[in-house]
Amino acid sequence: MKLQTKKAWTAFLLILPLLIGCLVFYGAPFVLVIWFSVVRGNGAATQFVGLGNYAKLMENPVFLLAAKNTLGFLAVGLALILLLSYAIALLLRSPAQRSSLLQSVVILPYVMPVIGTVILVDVLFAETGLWSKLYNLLGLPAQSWLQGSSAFWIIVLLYLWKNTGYSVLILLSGLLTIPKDHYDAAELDGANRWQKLRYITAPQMWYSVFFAGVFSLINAFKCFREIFLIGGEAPDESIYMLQHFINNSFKKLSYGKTAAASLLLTFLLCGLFALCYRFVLRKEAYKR
Amino acid sequence: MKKWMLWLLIATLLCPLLGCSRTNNTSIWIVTEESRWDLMNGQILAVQKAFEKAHPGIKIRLDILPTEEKERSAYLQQLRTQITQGHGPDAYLLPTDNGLSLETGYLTVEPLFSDVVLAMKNGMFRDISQWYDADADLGKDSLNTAIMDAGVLEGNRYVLPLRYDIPVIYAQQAVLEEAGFDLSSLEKPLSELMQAALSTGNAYVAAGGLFTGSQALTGWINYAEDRITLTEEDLTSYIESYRRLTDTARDHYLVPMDVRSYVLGSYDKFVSIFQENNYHGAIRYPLYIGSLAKLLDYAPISQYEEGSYTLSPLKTGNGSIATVTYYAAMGSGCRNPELTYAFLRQFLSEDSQWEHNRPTKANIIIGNPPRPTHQDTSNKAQTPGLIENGWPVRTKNSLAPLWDMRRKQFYTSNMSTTDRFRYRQVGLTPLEEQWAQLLDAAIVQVRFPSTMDTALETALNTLDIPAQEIAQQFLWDLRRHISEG
Repeated sequence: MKLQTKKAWTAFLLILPLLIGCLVFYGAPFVLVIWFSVVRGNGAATQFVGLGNYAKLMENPVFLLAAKNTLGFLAVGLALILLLSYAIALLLRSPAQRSSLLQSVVILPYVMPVIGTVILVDVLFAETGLWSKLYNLLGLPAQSWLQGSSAFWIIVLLYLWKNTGYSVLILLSGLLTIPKDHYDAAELDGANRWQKLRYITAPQMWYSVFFAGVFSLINAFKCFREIFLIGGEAPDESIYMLQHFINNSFKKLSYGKTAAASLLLTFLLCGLFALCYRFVLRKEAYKR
Repeated sequence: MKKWMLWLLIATLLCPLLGCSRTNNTSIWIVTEESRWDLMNGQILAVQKAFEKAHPGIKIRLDILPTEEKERSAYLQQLRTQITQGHGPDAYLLPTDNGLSLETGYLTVEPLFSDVVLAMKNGMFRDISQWYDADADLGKDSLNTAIMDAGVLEGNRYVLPLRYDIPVIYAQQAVLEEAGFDLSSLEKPLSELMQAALSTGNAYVAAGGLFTGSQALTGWINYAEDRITLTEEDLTSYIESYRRLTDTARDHYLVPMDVRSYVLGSYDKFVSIFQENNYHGAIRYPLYIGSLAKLLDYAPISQYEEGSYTLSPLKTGNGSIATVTYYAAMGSGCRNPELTYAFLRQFLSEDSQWEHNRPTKANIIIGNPPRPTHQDTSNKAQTPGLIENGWPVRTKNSLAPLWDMRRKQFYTSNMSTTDRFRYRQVGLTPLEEQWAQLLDAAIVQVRFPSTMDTALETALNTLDIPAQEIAQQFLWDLRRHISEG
């Protein structure tokens, strides 16, 4: 027992520098954000307002628009990317086993620099871009693709193009771990392709789908960089996201709103994450 | 790893956290914007010197925000972070406009506070009511009450307005009447005045009807209720009228925007346009809507020419809409509020308000002093006009001392020989008290210009897009501005 306590103390001391770093650079700022979300002003002008900042946000039409756009983007983008990457991973399963070069190729859009992606979007969809020129050639009326509702779909397309490869790799690695014997046995029992997919592939892929979903969610938020470079601080209404609201509120020194919006987003994502994880745990319960 | 090394590492990590920064009660940190040498920067330096002399041991740390874009962006980011932590400046002395008139030209910059009223609401400034209300020696009865009340929010005073402006119509009525202009529209809202200018079909009159300030619009922002009172119809109508006037004025005359928007590096081009068109400010417009400060140009000329100009405030409803152009405020993180207030109140004194402590050239130059160029600003002449182009809030009895200051500028500012001669003649004229009525004009609303005022000017000068679309985009930007702030 004495030896175990000594070992425990040694272990604690070894991780203490990391723990201090995490507390100072993550923990303390997080607590400060919670504090800023329940006060107004700073210094001598600080005034405790409780949930007042949150209540005001719920009545703020611009915040609600940003939340709607962000959740809409996540819902559409995540659903499409998981379906698309699942399909591509299934198609690539056999060739990928033979060629590792193929796996490198699918990740290329993901590693492309952000500015390169933005330039590409500009070349294609700006008012004088290739897509507009094509429209002109076909005799169709010219329009600004980066303004209006079309901007939302261009951003979704950009997100899919850039991040599908990354999700494909995660799902592909999951597919490659499914034992071949299971498929052989199913084939002997007369299972067709769809039945194999439904009863063998899908049940064993939930963890991979979950991780692909988590990383796709993270990449969806990273997409803000492209949206910011394309639309600036004040983009079109259809692509005005929560990150714009938070970024602009910070610049306008509205720390209460910034903190409250950030925390609402965090709690929402944690809630989503918890629900998804619980779902996956139930699906994978057969393994335990 | 040996245990003692581990403890040493932990101690090293903890040391910076335990280090504390001492608060310094012997200095006051002021943040301000750059200006021309003899405008607000010059005045602040004069007040700083006098204050430090009167308070030995107290130092004023004056930070002038950089104007170079990248440097400014980094500095503002750092400053905003310090303000978040409650370690921001003790006080601010800032213009409300996000354009700076500098030695080398006019520059648009990102302001520290995009909207002063929102900064007040967000608790960026400290409530100074206790010191201001107790200040019996300030001479508050000669301060413009309507303007001073703009610095109060929910019963607490956060801001000391120092300078303000109202739009004034400078009209040559005889010339306008000859052009077929309906003189009764001079007493009516801007929309009717613009229609009257347009109906003459005269380029010179049309150019004078162009006005881009937010005071042109009755509705704007209701900060108390966080909503926009400007309607799409009003804004669309204003944009359309502005466009029609611009079209009428464009072929024959420089519109004021072209003249005002000379950029860094093209000062010489501006001078050549100036000389080529024999044009001096807006003097030769028969109709001009401009700053209250122009009173000191037009009033003496009108007197000298026996009533050639009439001056009247631009009305919106029952009075005029005023804007605060320069203000002082105490930071929420101020460490020594009594001393900081004692410093800030100096800017409401007669000496500061009426420019008695404005720096002047040692020798009054008679003749043509060489103009400062973009490359060489060492030979700086006196800047004509009032400090930061706003009228002082200490309006009572202000006309005489400010006219006196303006007359001295005639000898040292950069004007052509013809204009200087003319001004020397009018400079001999004492100003009549009738002009002081403008300073008593009824004010129905006071606004603090924000970045949206600049956005309005940009929207008005956007061509090839339908007016309604521009109005919708502008209202979306206005909604964002108030929601994010």
